Formats: sequence, C-alpha cells, structure tokens
Amino acid sequence: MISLRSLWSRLLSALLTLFVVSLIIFVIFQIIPGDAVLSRLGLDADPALEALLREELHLNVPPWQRYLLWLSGLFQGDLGNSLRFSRPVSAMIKDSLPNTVALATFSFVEVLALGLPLGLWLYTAEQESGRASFLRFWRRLAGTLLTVMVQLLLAIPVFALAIILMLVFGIWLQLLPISGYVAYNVNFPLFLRSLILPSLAISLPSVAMVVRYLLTSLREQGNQTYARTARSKGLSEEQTLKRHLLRNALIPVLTILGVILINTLGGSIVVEAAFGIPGIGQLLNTAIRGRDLPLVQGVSFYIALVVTMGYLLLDLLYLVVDPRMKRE
Amino acid sequence: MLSSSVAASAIPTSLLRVINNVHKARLFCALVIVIALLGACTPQSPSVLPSSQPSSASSTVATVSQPKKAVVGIPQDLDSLDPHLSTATGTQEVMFNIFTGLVNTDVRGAIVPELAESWTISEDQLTYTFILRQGAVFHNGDPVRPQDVVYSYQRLRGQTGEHDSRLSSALDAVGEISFTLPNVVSLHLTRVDSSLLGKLLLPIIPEGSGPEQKDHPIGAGPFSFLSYTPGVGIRMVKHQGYYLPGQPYLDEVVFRICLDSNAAFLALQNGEIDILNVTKEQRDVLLNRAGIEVLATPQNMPQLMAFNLGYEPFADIRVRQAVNHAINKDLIIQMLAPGSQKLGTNFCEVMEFYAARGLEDTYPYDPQKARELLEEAGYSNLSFTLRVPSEYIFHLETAQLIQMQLNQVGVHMTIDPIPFDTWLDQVYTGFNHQATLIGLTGKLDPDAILGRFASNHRNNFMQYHNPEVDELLQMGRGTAIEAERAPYYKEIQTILAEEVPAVFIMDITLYRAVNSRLTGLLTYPIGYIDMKTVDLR
Repeated sequence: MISLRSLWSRLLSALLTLFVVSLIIFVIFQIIPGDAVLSRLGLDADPALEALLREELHLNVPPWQRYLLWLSGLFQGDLGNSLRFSRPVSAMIKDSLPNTVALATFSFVEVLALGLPLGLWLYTAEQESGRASFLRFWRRLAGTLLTVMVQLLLAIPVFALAIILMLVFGIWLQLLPISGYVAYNVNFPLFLRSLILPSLAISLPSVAMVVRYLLTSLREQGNQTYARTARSKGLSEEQTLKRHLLRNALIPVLTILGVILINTLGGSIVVEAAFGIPGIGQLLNTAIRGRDLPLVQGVSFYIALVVTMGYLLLDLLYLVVDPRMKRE
Repeated sequence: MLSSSVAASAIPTSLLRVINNVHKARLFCALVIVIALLGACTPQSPSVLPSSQPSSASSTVATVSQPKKAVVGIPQDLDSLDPHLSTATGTQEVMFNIFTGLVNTDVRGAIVPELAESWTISEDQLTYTFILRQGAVFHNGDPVRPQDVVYSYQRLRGQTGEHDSRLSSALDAVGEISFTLPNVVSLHLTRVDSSLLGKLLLPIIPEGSGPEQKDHPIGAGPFSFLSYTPGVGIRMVKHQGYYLPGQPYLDEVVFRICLDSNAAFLALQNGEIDILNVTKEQRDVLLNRAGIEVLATPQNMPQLMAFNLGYEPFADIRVRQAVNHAINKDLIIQMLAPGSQKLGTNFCEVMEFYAARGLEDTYPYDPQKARELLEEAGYSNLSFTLRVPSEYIFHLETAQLIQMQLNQVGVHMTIDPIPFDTWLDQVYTGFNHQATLIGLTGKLDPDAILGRFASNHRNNFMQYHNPEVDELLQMGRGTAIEAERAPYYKEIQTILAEEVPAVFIMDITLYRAVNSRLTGLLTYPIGYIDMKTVDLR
C-alpha cells in the first residue's frame, strides 16, 4: 500500500537528489579549466568588452557566492541568466523543450508501434510448430533476419545510425530532408517530416531493446507452471498468450519503456546535433562547451527533474499494474 | 491528515480500475498508435514531392517570380545579434551581411568606401572627416545620418548610458566626434592611430536602436534581418534600399547552424545547403562530383606551432631553429592543404601591401642541421608537450605530421588535445603550455596581426619579448600613411623569421564548396561570407 509517508520520503529524496546534482555540477565547474567570457568572445576578444561582460554577468564575485545566489533564485523560480547568450535560462529551456518533447513523443510512439508487435510476432513465430512446412520456413527465415537486425541495432552507436539513415533516406532515396529542422509553429507538416529521421535514429535501438526484453520475458513466462496449466486445460497457444502470458510478460517491459521515455525526454546530444534540432540536448552541448554554468545548471536541473519524477511515477505505475507488489 | 490520505489513495484506485481492464486498454492503445501513425504519415506522403522540388529545381532555370534563395552552412551558433556585443569571427562573417560600417574591405584587404562616400585625413593625422553617402538607408527605411554614426560610436565607447563602461577599445584614440548636417562626420583623435581606418568597419546602427539590437538587429547592410532561431540559424532578406544598384541579387539568405560536420556535408551533397566550408578529404570527394564547385582561396590565417619562450629549452634560439629545420612544411602542405602559401613569418602574402617576401626558407628543411643545433644547445634528447585545440582536426593532423618529423631528429613531442574553450583559458590567456598549434584569424591591419608580438600584449602566449619589435610597432602606430608604415612591419616580419618564436607553417587554404547553381561568391582576407555579390547562375 502506498502510504502518504513513503510518498513524502520519496519526494524528499528526489529533491535531495536535485540539490546534490546541482552541487556536483558546481564543484566540477570550479575544477575544470575554461572561462565563459573567454569562450564567448573567442580569439579576438576585446579587453574592454571582456571587462564589461564580467561586470554585467556578476563574474567578479566569488564563485560560492554566485552559487548561493543561484540557489536562492531557484527557490523563487528563477534559474538565472545564460553567460553566453545573456538571456534567462528558463526562457531558453522553454524554447528548446517543445522540440525535445516532440522528438521524444515521436520516438516513443515508434518504439511502441514497432517494438511490441515485433516482439510478439517473433515469439509466436518461435512457438509455431506443426503448420505447413513451407510457411514455417519463411516465418523462420524472417524471424532469423529480424533477430540479426535487432542485434545490429543494439550494437550500433547512435551517431553512426544517424549518418546511415541520412545516407539511405536523404542521399540515395531522396525521400526525406537530412537537415533543416522546421519548428512546429512554422509549418506543421514540414515539422512532422523533419522529425521522421531523427526520431528513427533515437527509437530504432530502443525498438530492438524492447523486442529483446519482450521476447525473453515471454519465453520465461511460457515456461512457468501456470502456463503449462493453461495449456493443459485446453487453451491454444494463442489463447494462453493473450489471456495469461502477455500481461505478466509486460511488467519488465514496462520498466524498459519507462526508462526509454525518461531518457528521450532528457534530449539527445548526438541526434540533435546531427539533425540540427534545437532541443535540450543541443542546449546542454552548447552550455558545456561554453562553460556556461547557469545554463548547464538549468538544463541539468530539468533533466534531473525528469529523471527523478519519471522514476517516481514509474514506481507508482508498477503498484497499479501489478497488484502483487501492493501486498508486499 | 486523514482527508489527504483518503484523497491520495482515491487516485490510484480509480487509475487501477482503468488499467485493470487490460484487454480494453490494450485495444485502446493499439487504436491510439494506429491513429497517431496515420496522422503522422498522411501529411508526409503528399508533401514529399513538392517540398523536395527546390533542390531538384536547382538544375532548371529559376523563373522570375520564384524568390531567389541560398542556404549557407555555418559551424557554430551566433554569440550575440547585437553587433556591438560580439567579437567572434564566426558571428561577424555572417553579420557583415546585415551591418556595414563607414568603410569596408575589398577582396585584397584594402579599405574602400561603404557608408562613407569619401574621407580626408588632416595633415597631422589627427582629424578624420567623412562624407556620408547620399541615399544610404537603414533597414527600417530611415536615411543614414551623421547622428547615427555619432550614436553608434558613443555606444561603443559606453557613453549612451546603456552600459556602464565601453564595449570596445577600438575607438580609444578618438576624442571628440562632431558632425555637420547634412552629411559630414569628423573624428578628432587624441593621438595618431594608424589602424583607425581599418577599425571603422564597426557597425553603424540607427540612433537609439541599441537596446533593441539583440532581438531585432537593424543595420544598413545589403540584407535585412528576418528571423533567428537559436541552434537553427538566421534568415535575412534583400534590403531593397541598399545603395549599390541591383545588389544584392538574392531575395533570401539562410545561415544554417550545422554542429555536425558529417551531417552538414551530406546536406551539401543533397542540395539542402549551397555553401559550406569543407575539409581536404571532403574536397577530394567533391572533385568527382558534378554540381558542386570547391573554391580554394588564401584566408590570411597563419597556422603556427608556437613555442612558449618561458619554457626553458625554447628560450634558446638554437632549439627553436632546430625545430624549424626539422619540420618539412612543404610535405605538411602537400598532405593536408595543397595550394596553401608556405610561411616563414606571421604574415600572409595575401596582404600584399605589407608582406615581406622570401622569408619562408630562412630555416629550410634540414634534419642534419637540426640535430647539430640541438647537440650544440645541449638538448639532443629534447621532449615537450604540444597542446592543440581538439575541435580542429586540421591542427591535430598537422601536429601528428610534425610529431613524426621531429621523431626523426630525436625530439620526442607529446600531443595533448584540449577543448578550444579550455585552450583559450589555459594557453591563450594563462600561458600554461610548452608549445601549441593554432591558426590566427585574418585581420586587415598589420598592427592587429603583428601587435600580438609586443612584450605587453595580453595574449602574448609565446612569451616573446623583443624591445626592437616593441619599438618598431610603436613607430608603425605613429603614421597612417601606408608607404611610411610598410617598412616597419616588413622589418618586424624579418626579425620574427629569424628569431622564430614559432614555426610559421602556412596560410591555410580555405576550401569553400559552392553549389553550381550559384555564382559570384567572393572571398576576403578576413572572415566574411559576402552574399551581396552572389546570384543564381
């Protein structure tokens, strides 16, 4: 039973995590070399402009004071200003968020739409026996090919997958654009079109992961005694799967799906850079490279928030889906 | 307490009821997915054909009614839209299309009229009088008046109340700025500043427009600002009131930010990007490909392996000479950037008015000589670390070639790749290195190029101190007449070639790929992607 107290303690530990994350980032930034103003102005920095920026960005006060200022601002809902762009961090995150959320949603829908049916199909293909041997041979072959694909997708790095997708769909088939992200409020159909390749680059490895997990989980459940009972009382393989196995097998898959959604909502540095999508990942990339501490803090605060809250929700969802856990 | 616990447990049970009906829920999920996919797919298929048309239309002749558009790929985001608040070369090369100054540069680096039609310099070189061009207008339709010039310069000097201190040190020699209507502006200098004219590329903005510039830049350049999306790019359209007849030819220019160079190269080949700087490997790929030309031009960017003279072995000139003798610049150029100008000093020949010639073989490739010199200096087992900005593959590859060549004379060099932002802090400002490898961005003024060798220059990362050079630099600043200035700078170049505070390798040739549907792109000895002369073929 989810008691109010345990919920509170979970929330509290989530908040503590957020605080620790910000502290760690702050400490790291004090250690690593680099300077926000220098990297903003580059090789040809004008000393006058440099001095002005240091003054205007309050970089002349000691770092720990700046951190305390940032913390106190946080409690008032103010994430501070970016050192590189002289803009409020919250506004910059707000600008990037729709792009990452759109990409994450797109990818997640693809994971669901491809991963679950493929996993199921592979399992049934595996279970099949005694049908016409001709059909069986082709199903087996398709199943093997699919398994190889899944292995490949699990192994390939995302940046390579992005380039391959560009080569195939952009250069050879000339079907889809490879650069030139269009924001949703500029042209909606073009926006959807420009999301297809990047979302595939993100979702395909996850699809492979879901297929693998579902398959393993189904096999495991299929060997359980209750499955044998179900079969022996006369249920067909399909009925056993539908009525008994699937629901149990989906529980571990739910975890994976949750993790995938949480990860994609945190933005993808690689995919966003490759396809020029101004999302959270790209913002973080720019911020780290420019030693833009307030922006890094802001973005990682967002990511930490998504992760902690996401896992909290996932745990709650578990209790709902699997009543056995509630009893424990 | 009680009521809240009831509420908390009420939510899960209602949720539970919904999810308990797994069969229904599954059906519903499947339905949602199908609908979502259908919704996502339907707009795609019809739009595939029409929207891919612009790239395929590139081969056909553009009709008059079709807007003429070009897309330029740039490797980084802009640091600020406000022209007075940015100094990054990568931003300026874009924003020169929106902003203009009193003067401009031509392709050879000479100062030519822009918003000023002409100017005169007084006998004592302390008063510069500019006659503004008749008919020059800002993007908002207002004419360019002397007051706008005064406002722009005062803003840069921190005198408009908008900022607490000055934004630029470029106008430090300027005292009073006066104007006479309708079109005369005079700058009264407190001391002679020979590089002043070259600095007057500084953007002129409408009076009072300062605070708005960072959101909506307004200038008098050939293109006017349309929109900017951070991380995506900037769009600009033809400025109808630009003073040159017919120019610019294009109706719209998009500068698209491409953080991933491989992806950008694919987009270039796909026709989504028209203009992009490419590497030598990419150039080699494009050589066999119709439809994309590659321009190779000097970019006034000396690449050098700079010694830190504060590191003991390099304080000895014989060691520096030996390293110079050990490095085969011709081979490096041939392998990495064929066509680049070999250098012997920190000055590129593209700046023909000031360049001293024939210095590149002061210490020719001679491994035997290198060994002898090292022995003589007592450093026959020299080893040192070279810090290289890791983003620049070109510099890293150069470093690897140098490493091999030095190995042959018994010098052990370790390459330490560090991020450019770290480099700026550690090497460029902190002098925390033994040697480094970098390309220095192009400048129009010889003082801006050679001034970094002054003992008191804040970025004197070679730790080079030579009173003679300091004095020559002072003399060069003392006169604005080119013919009088040139000998001082040539002298400095000769000294640098002999004392070699660095191995001056080459003026890195820029490979700029241009889609063949475009024509008229010029290149300059400074970072400047000038789109006003570009037209469809």
